[in-house]
Amino acid sequence: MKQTDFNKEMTDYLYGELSAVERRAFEEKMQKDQQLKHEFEELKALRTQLQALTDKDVMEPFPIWGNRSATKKSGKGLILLRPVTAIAATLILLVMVGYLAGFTISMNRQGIMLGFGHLDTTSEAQLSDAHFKALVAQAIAENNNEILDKLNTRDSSFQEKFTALETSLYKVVKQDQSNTITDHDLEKFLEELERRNAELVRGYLTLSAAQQQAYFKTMLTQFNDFVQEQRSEDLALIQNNLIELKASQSIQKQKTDQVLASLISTINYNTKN
Amino acid sequence: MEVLENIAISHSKSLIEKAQGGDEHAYGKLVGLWFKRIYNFSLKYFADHDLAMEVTQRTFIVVYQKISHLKASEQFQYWLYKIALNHCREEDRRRKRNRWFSIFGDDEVANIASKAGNPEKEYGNKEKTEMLAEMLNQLPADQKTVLIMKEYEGMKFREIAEVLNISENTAKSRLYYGLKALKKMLENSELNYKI
Repeated sequence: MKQTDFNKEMTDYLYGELSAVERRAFEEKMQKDQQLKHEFEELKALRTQLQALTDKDVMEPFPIWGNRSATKKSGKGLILLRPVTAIAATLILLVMVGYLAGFTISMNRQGIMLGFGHLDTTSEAQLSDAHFKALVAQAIAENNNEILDKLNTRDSSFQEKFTALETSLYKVVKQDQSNTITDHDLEKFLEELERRNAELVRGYLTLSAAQQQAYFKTMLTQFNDFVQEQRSEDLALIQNNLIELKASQSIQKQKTDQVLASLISTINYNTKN
Repeated sequence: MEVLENIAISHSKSLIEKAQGGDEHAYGKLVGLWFKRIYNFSLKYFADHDLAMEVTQRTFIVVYQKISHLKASEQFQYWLYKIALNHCREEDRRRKRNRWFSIFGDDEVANIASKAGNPEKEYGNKEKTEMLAEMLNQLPADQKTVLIMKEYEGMKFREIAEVLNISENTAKSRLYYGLKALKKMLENSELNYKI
């Protein structure tokens, strides 16, 4: 038997593809040839082992084909391509519109700027600085004006007071134009001033001491009244308790007398019987 | 559940015809029926979830685009596997190219090489299924394809021959040598293949 025929028969028998006649013939052959039988057993066992490699479950991907009408011819492109084409078309359209409208993207220290037409980023920055300086100058000027207004108001008030003082001094000087102030007069004036001050302080201290004494006196009187009141209340309470205790004692005494009387009568009765 | 799916697949002729007519709802249902099968076919081919998902999605995109060109709805299964297999092969070629162009070498290549050199050491801590998947992945593409189609997709040799455009005997031969190679790998591994 040729090797190829042997292989053919063996595989056919192994996978059950021999006819009944051929199968019987091959089995008879195996009975006679132990080596052939052994090989068959080996391959059969191998097949058993191969069955350990089972199919794995897998989910088919999300259908990229929709429920297209049956009248349409199939194979004209996947539906998946439709959104991709739509996105691509939109992007192209946007690019064209951007180009025609002069869409510009520029970048500077402040960041990326998107806009239409020429973007003058430097003039923008200068304008911004100038605007800022103008705002600062305006704020300073407003503040200065406010301070000046206040100063002017105070100045006019001070001026009025000063004028009044000047007028009164002028009157005094006018009245006593002939008198001249000497050192002696000044000393006398100071002594007088000290004396008056001393009297003022003394009077204040005297008044203060008198007020304090009156205050303490009032406080002590009130405290005394309070203590007296408390004492009288306590005495009344003790007296009431004593009266209650005395009443309780008399009741107990009566009860004891009743019990004794009852006992005596019981004993007497038992003695008679 | 799988039985129901298989019944639904075998009765999907009307769905295929509706999808050919442009009914996307029918196409969606068709995808729901076949997605898991194609994913698992690709997963066994690459032993890599991401690649399997990518190949499966690309397969169904092509199906969507070209289903109207399918002449006989009975041929849908073979046609579908052909598309999936073409994408698998394409991805395989792309990965091989990337390996050649990689300056430092692909880690995956190094891993496969080391596994081939010392399977006992490399497979020591692997789960049985992972080991099988990796061993399957190391088979030559022709043998691997036939083995997956026969063992896991349950296709007849006639159907495999139809999809791969080869003779039935070639398909059987590839399967036989594929199984022998796999057996040898398992014997060398810690799994210690026992009869």
